[in-house]
Amino acid sequence: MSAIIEARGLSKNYGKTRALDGASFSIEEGRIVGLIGPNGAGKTTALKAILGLTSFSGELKVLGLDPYRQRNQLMQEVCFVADVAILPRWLKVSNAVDFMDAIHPKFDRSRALDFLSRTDVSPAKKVGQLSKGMVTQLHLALIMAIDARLLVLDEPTLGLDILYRKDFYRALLSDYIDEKRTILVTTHQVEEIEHILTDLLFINKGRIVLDATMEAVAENFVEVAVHPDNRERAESLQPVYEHQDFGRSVFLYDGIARDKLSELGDVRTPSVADLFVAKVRGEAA
Amino acid sequence: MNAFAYLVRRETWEHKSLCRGPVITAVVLIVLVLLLLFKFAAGSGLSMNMDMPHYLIVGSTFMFVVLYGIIFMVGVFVAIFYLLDSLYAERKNRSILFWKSLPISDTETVLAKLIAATVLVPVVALISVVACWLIMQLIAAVTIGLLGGNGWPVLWQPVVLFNGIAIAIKSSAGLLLWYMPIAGWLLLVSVWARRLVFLWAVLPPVAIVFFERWLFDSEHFVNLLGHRLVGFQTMLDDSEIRGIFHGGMDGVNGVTASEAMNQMISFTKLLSEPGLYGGILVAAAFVTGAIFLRRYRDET
Repeated sequence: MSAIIEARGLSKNYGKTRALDGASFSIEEGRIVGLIGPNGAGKTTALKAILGLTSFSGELKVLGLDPYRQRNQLMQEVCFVADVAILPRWLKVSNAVDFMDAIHPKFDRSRALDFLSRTDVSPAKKVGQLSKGMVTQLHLALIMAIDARLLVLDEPTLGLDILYRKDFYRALLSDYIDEKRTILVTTHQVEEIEHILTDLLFINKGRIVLDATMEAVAENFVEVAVHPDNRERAESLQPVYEHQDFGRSVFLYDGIARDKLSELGDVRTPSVADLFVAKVRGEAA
Repeated sequence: MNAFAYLVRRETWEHKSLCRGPVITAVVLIVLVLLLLFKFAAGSGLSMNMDMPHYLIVGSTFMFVVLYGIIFMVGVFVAIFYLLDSLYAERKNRSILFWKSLPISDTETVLAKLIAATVLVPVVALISVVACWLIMQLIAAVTIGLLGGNGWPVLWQPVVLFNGIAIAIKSSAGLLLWYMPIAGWLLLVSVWARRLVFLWAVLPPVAIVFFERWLFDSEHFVNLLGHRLVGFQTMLDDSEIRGIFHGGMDGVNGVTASEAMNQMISFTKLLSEPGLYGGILVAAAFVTGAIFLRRYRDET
């Protein structure tokens, strides 16, 4: 296994704002990584640094290249979808496919057309005539037809209704993902991508606060709805986070055996969203 | 078609006026001539003077040059507005993030836009001029035929056509080299300005002129600018054509007129002008600046 992205002490200031504050992480080939953080946590800045769109300090290698200095070379192997549907309104669907075919050495025309034929996007239409959901479908069709080693998705389903969001990830899962392809995705709708992720990266205030595989998360993190009688014992085990749920205290633990915790109350594996809240709020406390 | 050619083609999808401008101008000119012809031919009692074809052939030479002048002028306006918009629109509609997700370097992108304005537009304009001129010739020949004359010598003017195309290519190439710094400047403004591109294109030069006057009481920049904007005709060698028309129109036929005009546009004066090379260097600097800004500026 080789690292697709390797970041050490990645930092970036915008004026006095510290967008990235020494973030370190590494992403292996074939992983599907969710980069999750609150607004202004540095997600977009991190992605921009990875895509060579912004300068940074610290060490960053993407596919072994410096993304800022070797961007042209990097873009042969990397593709990305930025946070909103940003295809230009004047672009005709059929022209978009022709254009990609002509300029992208790794674009597979028949794949794109095949994907488009399963949507309502008509090749004769212009982007300006499509609904937002259809523009995203078109964009996805163009991107999925590229045999890229790294795909970066920044809020790819923002502003789409639930049907398009589900379709988007279903298409990605069934038609794109394989062990050679690495995907880095950010989204606010964590619960919708939870099931396709292999790894989690939580970012807060420019720093990585959690870097774990989904298996490790399921193994290490346990949530217990504690019985009021056991409250003191529960607190003595040093929970990472506590919140109230239907009048009961729910404690989150990191690395404490399930058997031991089940004596305190009902035990369950936290959802990514719960874990995220715990990590981000827990940091702040 | 290779990737770079497709990049230029992409520009015609976004900016339809690049091709449509010159073509529509040619169509309008033809319609205008037809309307005028019907207005005058109806009831004017125009009869065929046997000398007319002779003048008409001279006329067809001038016709070519006039069509070229009008259609290229439209092309210049189209190119100016295109260049100003070319790198601004993609930032305004945020599609720049899509273009930047593709394996196209910023150098290729910027050069494709420069080529669209400086090569594609003149080529489309030249094709429009030739097609328009041929149709005008046909109209003249048919009119003469209807009036009882022989239209054929008017219609078929290969020497005039050949010289006309040579005039058009040579003067376009000369104009292009001369005005290249302006094209580079427009590209630079287009990539740099966050809004009001037109104002940003015009204001800085005006401001420099003003401040130079105010601070140094000199006029170097305004002279430089003036020479760049209207200095091109001083590069023409018009002694030849004056000689030909010296004795009036009688000794002139279409062939000699077109040849004289062709010779009038010689590169010797232009190429010996140091300003030409200085301008090309300035243009290169502007274009490099545009590439650099598109590459390294962080759009947030």
